[in-house]
Amino acid sequence: MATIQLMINEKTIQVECLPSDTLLDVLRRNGYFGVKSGGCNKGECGACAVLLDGKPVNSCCMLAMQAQGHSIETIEGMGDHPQKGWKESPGLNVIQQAFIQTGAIQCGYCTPAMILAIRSLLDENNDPTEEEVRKYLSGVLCRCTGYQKPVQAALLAASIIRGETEPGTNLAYSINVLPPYDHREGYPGNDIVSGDQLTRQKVMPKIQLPTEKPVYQQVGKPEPKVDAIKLAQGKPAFTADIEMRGMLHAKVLHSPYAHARIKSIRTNVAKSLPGVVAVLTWQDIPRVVYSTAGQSDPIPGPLDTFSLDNKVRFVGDRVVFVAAETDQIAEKALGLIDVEYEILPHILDPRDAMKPGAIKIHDEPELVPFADSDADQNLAAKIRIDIGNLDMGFSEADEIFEGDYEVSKVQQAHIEPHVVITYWDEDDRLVIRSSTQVPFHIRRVLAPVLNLPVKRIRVIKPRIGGGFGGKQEILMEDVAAHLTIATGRPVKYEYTRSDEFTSSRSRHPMRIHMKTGVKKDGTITANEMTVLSDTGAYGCHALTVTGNTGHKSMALYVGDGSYRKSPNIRFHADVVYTNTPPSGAFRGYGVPQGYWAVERHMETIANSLGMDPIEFRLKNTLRSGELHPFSTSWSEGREPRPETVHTVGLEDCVRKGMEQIGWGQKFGNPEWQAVPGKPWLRRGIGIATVMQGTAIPYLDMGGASIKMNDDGSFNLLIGATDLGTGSDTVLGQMAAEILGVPTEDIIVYSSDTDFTPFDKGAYASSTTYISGTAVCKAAELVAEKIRNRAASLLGGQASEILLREGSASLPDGRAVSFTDIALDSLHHNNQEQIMAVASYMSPVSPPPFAAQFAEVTVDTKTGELRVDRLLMAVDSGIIINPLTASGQIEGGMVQALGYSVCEEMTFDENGCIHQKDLDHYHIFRADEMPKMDVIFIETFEPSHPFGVKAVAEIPLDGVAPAVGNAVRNACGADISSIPITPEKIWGSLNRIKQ
Amino acid sequence: MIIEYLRPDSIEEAIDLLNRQNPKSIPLGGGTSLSQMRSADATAVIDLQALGMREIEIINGFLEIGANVTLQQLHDYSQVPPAFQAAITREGNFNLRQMATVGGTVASAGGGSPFNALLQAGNAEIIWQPGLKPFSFEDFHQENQRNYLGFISGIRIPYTSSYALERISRTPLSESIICICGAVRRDGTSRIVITETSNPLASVLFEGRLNPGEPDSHFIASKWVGKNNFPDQYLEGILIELLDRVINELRKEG
Repeated sequence: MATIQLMINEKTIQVECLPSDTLLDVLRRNGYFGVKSGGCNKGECGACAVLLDGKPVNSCCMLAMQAQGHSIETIEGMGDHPQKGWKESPGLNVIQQAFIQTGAIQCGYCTPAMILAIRSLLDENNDPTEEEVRKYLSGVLCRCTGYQKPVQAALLAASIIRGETEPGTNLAYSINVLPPYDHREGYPGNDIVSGDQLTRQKVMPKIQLPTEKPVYQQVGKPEPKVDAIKLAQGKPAFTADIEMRGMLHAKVLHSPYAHARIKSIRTNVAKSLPGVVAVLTWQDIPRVVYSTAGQSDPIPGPLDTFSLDNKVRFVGDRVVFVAAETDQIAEKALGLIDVEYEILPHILDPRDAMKPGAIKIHDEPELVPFADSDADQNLAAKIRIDIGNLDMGFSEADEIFEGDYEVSKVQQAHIEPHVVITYWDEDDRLVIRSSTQVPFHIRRVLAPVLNLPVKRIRVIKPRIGGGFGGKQEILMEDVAAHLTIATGRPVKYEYTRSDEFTSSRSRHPMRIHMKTGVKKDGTITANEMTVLSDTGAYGCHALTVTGNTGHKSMALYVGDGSYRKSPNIRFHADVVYTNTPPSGAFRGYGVPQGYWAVERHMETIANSLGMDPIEFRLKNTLRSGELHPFSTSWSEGREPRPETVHTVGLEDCVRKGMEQIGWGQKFGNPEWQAVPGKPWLRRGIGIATVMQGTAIPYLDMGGASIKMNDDGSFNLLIGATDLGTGSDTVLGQMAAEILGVPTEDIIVYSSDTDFTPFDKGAYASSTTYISGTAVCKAAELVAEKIRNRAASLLGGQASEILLREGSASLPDGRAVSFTDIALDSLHHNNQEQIMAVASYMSPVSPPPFAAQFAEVTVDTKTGELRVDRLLMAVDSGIIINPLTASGQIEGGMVQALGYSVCEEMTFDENGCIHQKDLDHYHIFRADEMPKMDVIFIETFEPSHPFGVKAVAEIPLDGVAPAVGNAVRNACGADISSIPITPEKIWGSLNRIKQ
Repeated sequence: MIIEYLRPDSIEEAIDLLNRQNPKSIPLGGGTSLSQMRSADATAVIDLQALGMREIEIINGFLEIGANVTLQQLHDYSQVPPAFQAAITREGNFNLRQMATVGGTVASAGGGSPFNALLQAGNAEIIWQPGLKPFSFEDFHQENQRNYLGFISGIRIPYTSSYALERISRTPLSESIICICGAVRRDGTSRIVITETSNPLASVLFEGRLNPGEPDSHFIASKWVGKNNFPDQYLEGILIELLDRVINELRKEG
């Protein structure tokens, strides 16, 4: 170790470091936790950015010693919380404030790096163009926001710095209310959003309000996120942002083979390496079969996984756990372990999995099947759903259309890698601090694996740096826990970016066959989808993801006329094991795969029939008051219960979207499709209509607890898991609305199995709906107690008391403040804690609906595709917070765009993945984004107190087919598999020429 | 494993350090290729940042660029040819370009680098210390593979040449499916190269004069595809198209 001096945030400090230490290592070791690690050490993601002499650089790929003599700035030097007691605070920097006000912070993991990048820009130029802002942001990858709001934040900050906007101005943006679509006018198509409209004028989405909507004080407002101030400061809010005395570092030896039996493991040399504290093989820990899927009990899938096994089933599977004093020692120890494998034949192509004679991937006797899963056939799940009479439907059709479609395996690519810290607390209870979406499921599932009762485990979820389903998996918590049990010491286990690609989870790749019967007038008489889904080496989420593929995408088109009451739909799927990294949950949960097939297929049918593709769709889609067709036949292996869909804003989404994108001027207009001076370029426009679900009925449950404090503020404790979406904020807003206080008076604490009520976790687009209803119920109970006490103080009827602006008032004007109510209840009279606990489980899953549009330009000579614009008009019920909701849509659209045109996991013949980093697995950067627009078509969903439906997953569903349909519109290329690459477009165009 | 970090103040000191046999010593530019240095071998890094080499000048029709000039500085230099700006934006993200140096990129980015390919097409010279010895790209890479007993102090680009870059990719900034660079040099001859990630240098597709009807893009493309034993209709097809675009651009510029 050498001692060097570094100038950090204008202070010279001495630090100890090795020549090999990166600046990132040294900064975090010295408490600068605002500098995050994306696990790459190659500068791919930029989460580790600092300013070096005023310029943004990635601290993971420079040595600490290189930084000597230079000025280093981190987020810790930027600003402070405005309220720091008696000590005057400088407050937050104007850029931090702008990020908070514009909703530019979602998970917040990349936020410090983005803020620093903008600081660098605005120090040079306080009047930047949007292009310049995007250039400076382009060094930082963000998987949540789609960059729209960070760009708006930068432009707002610049405006404040220039003096054009008052600092601290209440930027409660006005709602861009759209008039309802007038069905009498047909396609207007004239109100095109100007291409040069400043992004910063579009902080708020456009909203079409329902005909009747109550007036709310907090609901519907663009409240800043409740965690935004700490995230803007880069506070140590994430899992890895703590140091513990004696903490060990874990590493896992991964399999180099796709399928092999472990004959022997020699660990002596590794164990003797100084600094190595524990080496565990399958022979050292209990053999307990379980599923890594983070789902409710009973797990709806096979139990086919062990913490460590004597067999490996994919390249990247676990072989040995190591704990050592440092990360480097642990890494070195892996190289000293000698494993003898018996290499087995492997299966990479799912079409080979069920062939006669195929090798059995799961031959362990302990495997527990679920429903129709059959390990003898490499079948992790089998789904057979038949609604109505398909044969009759096909016999009534004038034409039958068939098509084959394919979707690829893609990665969640959250910027914070998977990470966990485990330790024994002072009561010898095992604490698991994890970046997870499912803390309560972790506790339940791991208890038997670790041979601990549930009550001796506590799971804490700090802030999460993105999850997108990848953290709905009990992926690595057991590794650190086993090592803590073995050593008695705290253990940190953190994935590298490479691990995320080789040893994590991904979206299920699928091959989908569509067969649809249609009458000449466009009525769908029968619709059939047959799926071969690849679950990879383990069956986590196999049944439910693939079931969802049909449950959501095949439910949208019921047919017209008498078919509406009795649709003919078939969804059959085989979900097979292969020797590839396991698939799992990924935002959209199987539905984007289904819509790629369905919406490309519908476009083909409409074209073949010579019908307008939009009118063809709307003729056949589900309408208000109709039964969700699948609700009569399937419920993830549980008893199905018929469910009526009450709110369907789809037609308004389509009409409004058409109006805003100028569909009428563009679709079928050769003049618009041509690019002046470049005849080889062709423009195209496309649409997809989609629906999702909101929570899992009769299963998902969330709880909430609210208590009143001395000053009339409230603690809201929720098990719900905010993974950056802003759910803590919208739950706080709902509580504030009912309790009659500003949202800032609701102190939200979430996701700690010891302190918060149960919640199923963050998945299935359920939090605002399920956990939100629990919050509303708890808030109503608390409100009732407040009214009762106010009545006793004021001498009126409790039922007449109105709670508003932190006080309880009678119609005659008499009022008492919440502070006085709290003091009275806690200290003065008939003392009691005003508090309540409530929970909620829903009997329904009201679907959100959307119309998604894309505009593209295709180079017909090379097949190169550029997506110019995405627009989504979505019915997610009432929008609680337009900032967080539109942020969900924008970020989701960009994730879906990557899925559509560039992202893809591919493997060589030995099962080794080609893409192990974010250079080769490209996700969109800030300076290559299409123009994006969000429109909310509000409907009031009667099953929720505030009328909400889901928002988080639906943006993933329609982008790919909309882009595919736009490509077809542009040049005739008909692409059946995603990603839509230049090669595929070129090939299709060549086939057309021939 | 990096076991020693040194920051010499003079060129002589740097050369002395790089000439040590033990530990193996390698020059350090911006450090953005550090991840490639994490081998088990004990290595010393010789940081060149104190040696200046940060100037960009146009001298006698050459753009002379110091080795420590960062890619972003070169990108932002007002007189850098547009093709170089396009190439630089493909060399890594904005943050990386703040640290990555011209010298480091030339030394380590290899044949998949659009920036290197453009330099190679334009017959840029690599200036080597000791001795300020100029190397062609091809000669440098042969020399460089033998040892590190010196370092790049700068590069010299024929400024009056014309340059063109064409590429195809899935998104504007994702890795290239194909990237072709070309230059017309002072003597009127042209060189067109294609980036090759697995090679230290880009492959030369054409060298000679752009006469009417020459070069024949179809012939070049089929030859390249044949040489690479890569019978891919798509690659051959877009190679022809991109070659035509590069040739047209060079003719226009020339």
